[in-house]
Amino acid sequence: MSPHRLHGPPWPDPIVEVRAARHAYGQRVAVDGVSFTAREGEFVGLLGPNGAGKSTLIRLVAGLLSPSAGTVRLAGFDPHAAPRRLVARLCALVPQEPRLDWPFTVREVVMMGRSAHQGLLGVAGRDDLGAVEGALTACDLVHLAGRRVTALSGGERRRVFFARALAQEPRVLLLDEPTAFLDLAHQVAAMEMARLAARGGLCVVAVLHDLNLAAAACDRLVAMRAGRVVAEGPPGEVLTEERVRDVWGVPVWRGENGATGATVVLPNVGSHAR
Amino acid sequence: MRAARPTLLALLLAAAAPAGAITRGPGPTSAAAGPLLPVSSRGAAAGGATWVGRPPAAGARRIVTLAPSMTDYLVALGAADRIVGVTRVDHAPEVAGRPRVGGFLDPSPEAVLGLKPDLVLWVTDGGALAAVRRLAELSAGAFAILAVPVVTVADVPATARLVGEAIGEPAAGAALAARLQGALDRLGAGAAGRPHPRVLFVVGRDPLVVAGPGSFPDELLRLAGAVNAVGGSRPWPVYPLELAVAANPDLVIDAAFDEPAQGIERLAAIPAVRRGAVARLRRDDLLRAGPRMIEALGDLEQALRGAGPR
Amino acid sequence: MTRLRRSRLTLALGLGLLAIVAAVGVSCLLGPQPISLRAALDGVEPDRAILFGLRLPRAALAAVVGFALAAAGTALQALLRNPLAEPFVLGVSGGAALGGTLVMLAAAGLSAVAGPAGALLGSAPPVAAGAVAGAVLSTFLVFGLGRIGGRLVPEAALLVGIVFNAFVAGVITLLKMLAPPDQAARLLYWLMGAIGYESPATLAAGTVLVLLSVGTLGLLSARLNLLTLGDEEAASLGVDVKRTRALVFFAASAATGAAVALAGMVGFVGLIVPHLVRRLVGPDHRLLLPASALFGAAFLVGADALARLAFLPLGTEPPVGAVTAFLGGPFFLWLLRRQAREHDEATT
Repeated sequence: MSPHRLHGPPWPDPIVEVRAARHAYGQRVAVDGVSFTAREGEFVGLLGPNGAGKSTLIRLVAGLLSPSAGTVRLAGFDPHAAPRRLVARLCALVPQEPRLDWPFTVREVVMMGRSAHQGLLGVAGRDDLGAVEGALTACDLVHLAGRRVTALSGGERRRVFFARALAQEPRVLLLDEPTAFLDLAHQVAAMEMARLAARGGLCVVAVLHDLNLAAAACDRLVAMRAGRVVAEGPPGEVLTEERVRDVWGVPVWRGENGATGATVVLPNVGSHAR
Repeated sequence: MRAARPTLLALLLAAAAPAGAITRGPGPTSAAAGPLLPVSSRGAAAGGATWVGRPPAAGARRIVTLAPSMTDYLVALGAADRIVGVTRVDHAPEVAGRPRVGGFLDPSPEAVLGLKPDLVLWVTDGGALAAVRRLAELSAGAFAILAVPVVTVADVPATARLVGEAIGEPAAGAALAARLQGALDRLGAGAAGRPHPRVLFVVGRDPLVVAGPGSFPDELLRLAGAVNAVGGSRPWPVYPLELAVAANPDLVIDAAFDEPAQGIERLAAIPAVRRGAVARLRRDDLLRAGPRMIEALGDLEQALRGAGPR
Repeated sequence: MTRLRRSRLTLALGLGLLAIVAAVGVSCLLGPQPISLRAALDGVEPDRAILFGLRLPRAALAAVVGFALAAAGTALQALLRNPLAEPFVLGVSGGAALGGTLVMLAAAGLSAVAGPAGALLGSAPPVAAGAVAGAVLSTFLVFGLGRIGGRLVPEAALLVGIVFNAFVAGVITLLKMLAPPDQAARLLYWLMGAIGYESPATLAAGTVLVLLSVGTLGLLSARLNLLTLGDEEAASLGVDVKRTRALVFFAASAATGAAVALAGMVGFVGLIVPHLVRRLVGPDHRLLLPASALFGAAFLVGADALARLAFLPLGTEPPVGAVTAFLGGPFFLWLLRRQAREHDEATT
């Protein structure tokens, strides 16, 4: 991950710090007293059933939502109150289903990641061109750079938006279900890219549904249910048979990948085993 | 049209500077300074006419009329041969085949310029104000514009005098003015010997459009000793049939000349229509504020003579 | 902006200016009265007056109005993330017309009580201010009511705009009943969108307002690119979405209000032009917005020339709004069908 500086300004450690945060959409409480931290160089997986509050949590970190109670700090700033340009230089969010209504080219979309580094009219400097080329290379998009994003497959589009987040040169990378709707090869590729970004020094936080992919790729897992954090720690500690049954309501068999030693959980479909 | 107040659109289209000072005095004013063609609410008889530029001292030879009634004045003055351009709504036989310069509401300045006139005659109407103002800006001494507000019946003879002076025939203009005024005086004088019916003056049947206060027919009816059955404040209201029935006029004058005669049955709810107390006008002359209106006063007298108050 | 992009910008703007020159040339040379260009340049009357006093100012007016409407349409499409958005379709023009009409009626009422004050209120600047205020209010109304659960739903906003248009048409019809009949007829002609003869002062004031608002949109064009991605994404890329959107609303409404004050409701310019220009220069608003504005100017000058020339044998001319509606209505439906087809293809 050459475009990413290993030595940035001395941010507070951990760079993401959420304390007793609460957020409600009208009457529905989505996040209820959550505390959560993430550090640079770390790949954190956010797990939990639908409606657990995972997406709300990363939107709080990105400053797109503000907590009604508790605090959220991103590199020491309140991300909701800080200027959007500053937050965009610190933190990039790859949405689950990015909008693509207009036929921009791949390079144009990736260049949009540089907006927070550019002037009002978005005139690209050497840094911007370098960052975009680096991101295109890292995501294997160089050969597609001139294509219209509206003409790409789902997997290619996901890579474009990942590249845009890299071009943003943030310190924190937030991924909302980066593997949704992808086939196995593309899922693995997406996780590898996220892992590489973390190895390059970024703080990567991803909302994930595939427990095995999360266990294989993430350094740390945080399990949520009904707006609260119910467990966090290394994959092997979080993904126990009891916890998976508690959180997801599904009985599983837990084992290890013989090749990598990663934790593996498999649902006991059709066995009625208790 | 009788309303000579500045129209909304004219105001919008007008210069950024508001319509300026209204000059006083009996004769036409010359708009040397300030906005060209200031909008005046006074009629020709009250000195509301405006000149832009000066007409040729030897008398105008190439005249463009921007209103059919102006053509009528020139015809009455025997100057029809000097007309080089008229609007497309001008159907006077004397100008058949003459070049057209757009409509009464939307004259084409470029067509006017192309005819190289030495005099343009205009009955002020807000609709054409922007186009005529532009013409005035471009006239640059090449031709003169006489703008005449015709607001009341008294303005009709006054306009004859102004047009006569404008074309270098002041004596003929004065004679025509005297003739028109004489006819108006006779209408008033004869009123004593006629009944004084309440009249509904219909100009359109579907929807029912009638002459209200402030319209020329209203004033003519009053001059002739009749009473307009329509009240309110609007000169040409779209009138609810119920109100027409409730007004119960003694006589209905049907001036919807371009609609078939039997169409009056639509208004059979009005008692006067059922009784057959309907006088139909076959020409629109009474609505044309110029010589033709005066010449058609006989039609009005005849209509009123046949009706009496019940 | 790379060098490639800069040269594309130069090319697009050059083509746009060329289109304006061509349209103005056609518009100036053709008309009911045959004129000679040489005679006009030599100062021979009436050719000189017709060319420089009538046709050129009228072409300039059409150019300013087209410039404003195409730029406003481009910006509104970015905000609504939908190529069907347009000041006329969204009811922004209608709101401007209503605002202007209200000021004019108030002026007519006031002049009955206090003449000079009424004339002052009825002069061009207050009426234009009323039109701009009406445009701004209707924009906020349409985009406000187009939200479902806090999210802007383009189809809902378009529907609100169409309903708002019908409402405004009704209100203006009611107001017309209050105006004297001759004024009502002219009001109707104005609302249809008529390029007429403005005083140089009015045209200059309108041009300044249009240049200021379109200039603001130009400065925000890079932000417009990000806003097409949706509020959340634009925010995470560093855009202060609320403030930027409010600025775009205001500038697009001011441009529309100025255009309506100058020429009434000329529809579909902001729909046809940005769509065609997008095919030429792509969706990047830093190119699209200025190029659309220039081609919009050329388009309306051409449409006005068409309006003047097509009905020449009848000795009359329709308002240019009728011509743009004649072209734009079918175009809107074609775009709608195309969008539906693309949607079908995307989901199957």
